[in-house]
Amino acid sequence: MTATAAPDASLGDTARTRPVREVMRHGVVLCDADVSVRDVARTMRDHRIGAVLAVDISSEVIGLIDESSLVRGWSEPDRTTAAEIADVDPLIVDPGDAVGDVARRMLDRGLTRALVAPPPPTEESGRWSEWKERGLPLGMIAVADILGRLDELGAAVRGGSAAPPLGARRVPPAAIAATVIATLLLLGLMLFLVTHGHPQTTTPGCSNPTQGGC
Amino acid sequence: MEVARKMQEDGVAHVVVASAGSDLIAGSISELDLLRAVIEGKTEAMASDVMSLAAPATIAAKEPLAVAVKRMRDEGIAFYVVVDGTPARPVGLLSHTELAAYLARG
Repeated sequence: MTATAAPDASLGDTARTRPVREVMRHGVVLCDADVSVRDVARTMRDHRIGAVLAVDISSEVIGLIDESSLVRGWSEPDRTTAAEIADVDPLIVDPGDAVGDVARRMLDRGLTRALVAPPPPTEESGRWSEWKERGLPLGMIAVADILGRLDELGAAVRGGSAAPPLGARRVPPAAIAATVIATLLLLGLMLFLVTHGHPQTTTPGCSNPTQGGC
Repeated sequence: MEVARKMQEDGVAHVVVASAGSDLIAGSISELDLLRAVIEGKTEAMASDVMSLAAPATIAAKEPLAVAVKRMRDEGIAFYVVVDGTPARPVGLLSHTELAAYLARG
């Protein structure tokens, strides 16, 4: 990490270099492979988590179940088992992998979550077939975990003696110009309305039309 | 990145981007759209810069859930904009999260 990094790239740089273990959620919730889909849904609700790991009677990992896997058991949620809906080939990453790397692998596969497990003794990693070499997972990392720590990740890069506050970030000149133009237009419109004495109008379905943010 | 913060606060994985002051849907933003923006260093980007322009799938509020689930699986839909009334207006979102919560209630 260098001090000369361009401001726009700084957040990306941090995301690339920060190890997964600092951002991940530690610990996983397990469920038996033969419980019903309904019970898995309840477990996830009760623990307020988005994914559980299905294990068989000898604690062997069967696969990962998240909210989208639950939908696979929709037609018979009381008869379909966890083993039937589990994803047997989830993304598995090492705790020392860079968050940026993991993010790219998530994007490549269109996944919002990865299992974090100790690296296998061999060089090749990240494949479910090598699961037994890895041992029990340490936790998971979800896209939400990365997005939820953007401020912190950004602050870590700007850290040091001259860290500017978040609100003092560089604003591109084009944005300033656009804001000025928008303000002038708005003032002109208000002036027009005032001088022409129009009754106040409201936009249907919009609780606060003046904010323009609904 | 205001959108990212808001999505975290509300615990949602998708937002629909509408034109200001209207029900017209301009596109949608998923967690993965935001992640891509972060990785590319576009932290000052506007919602319109990172959103997916493809119109999100819609489903009528009266449609049975089984139909929604089937379409999700067959067409790889991540979430719906639920519409109701004539003319149809968006009244909410339906994603795997809501379906999972529904399963847990039953």
